[in-house]
Amino acid sequence: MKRLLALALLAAGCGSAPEPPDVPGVFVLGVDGMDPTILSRMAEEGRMPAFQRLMEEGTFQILGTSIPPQSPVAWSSFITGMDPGGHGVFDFVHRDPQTYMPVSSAVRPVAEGDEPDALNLGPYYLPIGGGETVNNRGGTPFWDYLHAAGVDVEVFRIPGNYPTPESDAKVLGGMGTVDMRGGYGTYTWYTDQPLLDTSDLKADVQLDALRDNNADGIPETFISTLKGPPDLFRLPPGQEPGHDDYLTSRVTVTLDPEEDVALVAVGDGQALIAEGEWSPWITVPFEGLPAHMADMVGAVRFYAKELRPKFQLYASPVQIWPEDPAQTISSPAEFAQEIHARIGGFYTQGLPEETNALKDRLFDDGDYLSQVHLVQGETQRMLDLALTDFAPGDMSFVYMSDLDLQCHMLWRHHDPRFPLAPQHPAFEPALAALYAGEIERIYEHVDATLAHFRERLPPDTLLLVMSDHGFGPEVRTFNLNSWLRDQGFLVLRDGKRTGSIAVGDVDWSQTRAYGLGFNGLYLNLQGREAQGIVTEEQVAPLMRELQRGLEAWIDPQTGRRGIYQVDSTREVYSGRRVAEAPDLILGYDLGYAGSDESTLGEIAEEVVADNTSRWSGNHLGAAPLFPGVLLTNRTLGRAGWDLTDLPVSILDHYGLPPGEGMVGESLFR
Amino acid sequence: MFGNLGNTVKIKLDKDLVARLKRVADVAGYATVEEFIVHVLEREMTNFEGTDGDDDIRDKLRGLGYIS
Repeated sequence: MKRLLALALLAAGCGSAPEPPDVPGVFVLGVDGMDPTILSRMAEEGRMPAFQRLMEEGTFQILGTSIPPQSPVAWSSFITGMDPGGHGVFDFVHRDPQTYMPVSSAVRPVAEGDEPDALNLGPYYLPIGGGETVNNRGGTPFWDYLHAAGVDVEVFRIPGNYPTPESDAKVLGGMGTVDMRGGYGTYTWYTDQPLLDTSDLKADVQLDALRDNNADGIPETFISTLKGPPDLFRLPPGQEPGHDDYLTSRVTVTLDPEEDVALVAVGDGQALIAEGEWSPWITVPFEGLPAHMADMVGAVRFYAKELRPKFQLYASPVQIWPEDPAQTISSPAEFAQEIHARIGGFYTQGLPEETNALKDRLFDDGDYLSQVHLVQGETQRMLDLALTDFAPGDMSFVYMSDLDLQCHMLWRHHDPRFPLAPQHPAFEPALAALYAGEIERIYEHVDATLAHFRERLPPDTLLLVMSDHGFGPEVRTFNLNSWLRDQGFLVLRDGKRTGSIAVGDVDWSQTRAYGLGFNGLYLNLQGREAQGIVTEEQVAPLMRELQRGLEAWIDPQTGRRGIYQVDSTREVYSGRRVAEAPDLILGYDLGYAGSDESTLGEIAEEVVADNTSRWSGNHLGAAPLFPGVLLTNRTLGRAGWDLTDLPVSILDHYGLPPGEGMVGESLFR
Repeated sequence: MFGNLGNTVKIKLDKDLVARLKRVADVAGYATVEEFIVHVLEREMTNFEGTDGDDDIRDKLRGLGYIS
């Protein structure tokens, strides 16, 4: 009955607000990537006093993660109370069974007949409908049920909520929210130093010489551009923007003749920054149509890496500016503006930590960490805002991203989970001497954050501190498609050994299985794949053969198994969308992960290789090896909870039944 | 606009443009202006035809940091 009531309230939408349940509020701190082994050790060492106190007063357990333990999958399970078979997010990367091409899991494919359309007026295309991007996540977020029941809800930076679903609850999207260019973060690098190879950089490199505009014999001026959003009004509908299809704004940098200081001017503003300093946010209007008929405002921060003798200036990816968002990044749309009005500018891009400049080796760890501290400051202000708004009976969620990304990037210096582990292939001794303890310092920062906000919470508040998964080293990368080739499951055309699904190198008439995504393996199934050859009768024996073969695979260099377990999604998933899932999910053992090549459907020569990237920590392995953490100030009767149990528990706390399709159980029963 | 010569075609270009192309081709070290034009056109075509066919998802994953 209660369940029907909640759904009826939900359906009623904005009808008169019901009286909220008279219970203490719920505050959830989501710490992406917090690992229970590292947390336990540091707590025992006395380095996590706020966590230690929470463990003693309440409960600390491992929290089961999703299969696979990828952030978009895991957070979708937390949001909906469903496993991936219900919410339909299985990996960062899905595939189109008609073309075998990799596609983003964040967006639902545009239905046939609903392609974008536009009115062509001279050089302009004015959108007239179709092609709407819709969030691919199925199910109903738990906060919608809470809001419908009259609970005041505020959710800050929740992953996987872009494109923004309609909701009356106040929700700001996090991981997955794009920058102004529509991607997940393209920065700009202004320099007078030629780079050897820019093809693999995630940067828009602007190379030019400094000019001597004041004719004093010392060049001091750098003039360039900043790319903003795609010039959609000049692009035919549906066409991806090319290199020059972006709106731009002029950037002028003037160096001080004596000091290492630069005046950077762009758009509406300018900033004076010294070498090694960051500018504040500067807003930049981009003119989509003449006469300011379709202006879009972005914002950027600059970092003066070096001014002289080399000129190296970084500009952040251009952010959707929350004061005047060019796209909807929150529900209601005004929520982002409200946050901006109260705490000022902030990164709206999903994962704002500048891991790409570090991977590209244009940033060193010091540059990178200086940017991380900016993000931490913004998170702190957002957390303070959430606490200011938090009244008895409310539900708030605040997300912290920095621990996850620092574990990805800095694991190479020191393995905090297995401190006696051998040196990582991407170990850099000089940098390790400075930054080997940085991951643990960020754990301590999270501890200080917990201490700070616990003081401000009403004492009877239900507090949940949780993470979506744990962490481990990524030392070796496995090329699934190469293994499938060597075992005869995947056949390339013309006797090739290497190639790519995307460019048509695979002979589908002889291919029974292929890999796409970080953990996904698909059968080339008749009636599902465009050129499928595997019949339904062949599925079970083929899956068993693949599972046995992969789980028995031994890395010839290390003598270790690289794959801990292979799960059949038909067995481990439930819900309406199981049929969309990969057939098998590879659960890598500690130290192993899927390669970039196999993730994108490429077939490399070697089956396994060292991971020499600075992206050196990972969690895209077997779910049992990467559990998250669950801490609460309540005593729980048993252990063994997982992510799907949390939304059910929060609803239960407010006296509400599980939402439709939720598979979790309540911690409190 | 096009004239057919077996496996090749002739394209009419403005004389001034050809003169500019020739200057750049000389400076850049191309043997002939035709070689320079073919190189530029082939390079431009890769922008439209793509080389991998999965650039969008590749860019997105690189943006997140998960692939290099």
